[in-house]
Amino acid sequence: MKSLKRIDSHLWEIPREGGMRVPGRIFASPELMRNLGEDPCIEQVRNVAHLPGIVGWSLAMPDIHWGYGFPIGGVAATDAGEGVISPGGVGYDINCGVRLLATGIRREGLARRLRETLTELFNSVPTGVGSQGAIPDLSRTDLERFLEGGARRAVELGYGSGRDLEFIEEGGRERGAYAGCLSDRARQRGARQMGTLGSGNHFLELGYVEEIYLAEEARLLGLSPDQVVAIIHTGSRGLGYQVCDDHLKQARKAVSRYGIRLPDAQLAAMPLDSSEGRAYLGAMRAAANFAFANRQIISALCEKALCRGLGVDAGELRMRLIYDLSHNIARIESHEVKGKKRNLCVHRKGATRSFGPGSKTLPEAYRAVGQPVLIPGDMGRYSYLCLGSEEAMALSFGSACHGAGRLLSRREAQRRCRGRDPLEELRGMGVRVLARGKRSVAEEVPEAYKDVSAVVRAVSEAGICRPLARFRPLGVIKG
Amino acid sequence: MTDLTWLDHTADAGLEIRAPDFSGLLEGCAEALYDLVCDRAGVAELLGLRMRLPPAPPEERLRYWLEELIFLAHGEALLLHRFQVRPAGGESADESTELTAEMYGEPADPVRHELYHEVKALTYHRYEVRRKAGLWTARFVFDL
Repeated sequence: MKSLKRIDSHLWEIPREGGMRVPGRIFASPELMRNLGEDPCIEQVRNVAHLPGIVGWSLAMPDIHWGYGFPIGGVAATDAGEGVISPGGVGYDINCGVRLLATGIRREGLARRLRETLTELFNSVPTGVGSQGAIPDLSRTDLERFLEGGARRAVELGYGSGRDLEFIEEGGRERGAYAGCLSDRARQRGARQMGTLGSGNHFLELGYVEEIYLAEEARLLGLSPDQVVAIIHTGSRGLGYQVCDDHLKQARKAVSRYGIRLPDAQLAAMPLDSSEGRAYLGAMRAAANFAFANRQIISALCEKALCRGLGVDAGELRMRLIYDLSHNIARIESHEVKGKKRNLCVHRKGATRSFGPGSKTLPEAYRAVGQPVLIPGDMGRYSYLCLGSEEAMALSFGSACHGAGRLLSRREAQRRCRGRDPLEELRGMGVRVLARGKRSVAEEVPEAYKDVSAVVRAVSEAGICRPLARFRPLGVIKG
Repeated sequence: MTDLTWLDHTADAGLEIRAPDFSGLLEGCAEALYDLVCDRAGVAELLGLRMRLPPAPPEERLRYWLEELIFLAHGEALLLHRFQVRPAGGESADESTELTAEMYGEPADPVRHELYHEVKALTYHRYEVRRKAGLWTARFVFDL
């Protein structure tokens, strides 16, 4: 805290020193900053500022917590011509992200049949370590079609509809994906996991719209009070983990080859304009497409399970994708810096896009209001839907936070749960949870996370997104 | 013989493992990894595998070993219960010695086995292997 300079009510600066090429900036309320204290994540914001070609600031969102290399909640933009790309700035779970689905069912309708519906979901959506994918054992050719086509390939195979694609970032397909840059190991880890939720903090949640803050915008998105929604949180699974691992090794060699000096080995980076940089971009985009397809397939499984559980047909369920976004990715984007348009490689590691109104990357239906920014909280409290803002384009390269942010380590959360029954406690909070492992529930108890309301207030006060609605969970399935 | 300390890390799993020799260090690290993956006590020794660990500096060799094990766990869906690492020629283990690892376990069965975490990778964050006063120590963070 000592070296931090407060430059606005919700913005703090780490002055440039030593090998830092730019200052660091953290979006947070005074209370969130106090709670951070001397957390190692602040040092990680400083470290990221050493990346060659970094532009503006090394940024962190209010859900910041200690990661490896980059902090989780970190954003860094590097010059697309002369800068570097860092696999650690994307993370192992490439295109980990969330999608929000709305339905035509009201809260009471779900509450009456919650047990049956959750059981149907739990039996339909592969969850947990070692679960078999919805499309088991993809052949090399089939896998490549997903890696190149993303969610589009899933739609071609009958998972969801063509309409969905418009409401996924990048249309559900990262251009420039190159499956040829994936190792056999990455393919092998992915072949059995297409259509799996995974474990850890990944989940599928059923809830309802508890409160609306922007009525007109909510109408435009088709959201109303008490409406049942589903949130899916997962990513590129083992395939993405392996892509990151493989290319980090290349990045570590590149660091010596190109004379890049960095304070943390996990930050290893390669020039974007190099064979190593291009190979990583191609592979990262292919893994991102795997993740888009994975969430698309899980949505389709979810729709069928909800129909069975609720005893309705698809016409009555009226499930509709509101938006699907990534929170672990690097993308080439055009941003205005000091009055000039520049092409930048924006790394978002545990951060989402928060593009303001008018952005051409948004679905036409949302262009007037800005990008939907989905910010899930812990499984006992609530989640938020916000909208991107003009200020975010100026202050944070069009970025906002991705969640509540961890407060306790997994072991500490487990320790605090000894002698308790977290499932029963969650039921007392009105949330029914079905999970493969007891340990994963203990590690993900609400107290392990910051209060997402405080995080959302901070990004809202900082002006980098506008809260639109709050959702309350009723049921969760996880690994 | 192996001593393990969990290091505080907000998002992931940090570990420090100490052993009197390098082979023991590799065994201890493997056990710690599989303790994150599953309840090892519930894994039967139905099959045995053998792996060569070619001569390399300790940091590289430990990384190679753990990455192979992460792949066996999540790429091949194999749960391992017990590990034995020995110098290939029976002499003492140093950088120039080839090591042989024998591993015993069975294919993962989500119904029968209690599975805990999918270990995404061994990170480079604060990664360290050192030998001091006759004791080998490894520190690392797994991404979960």
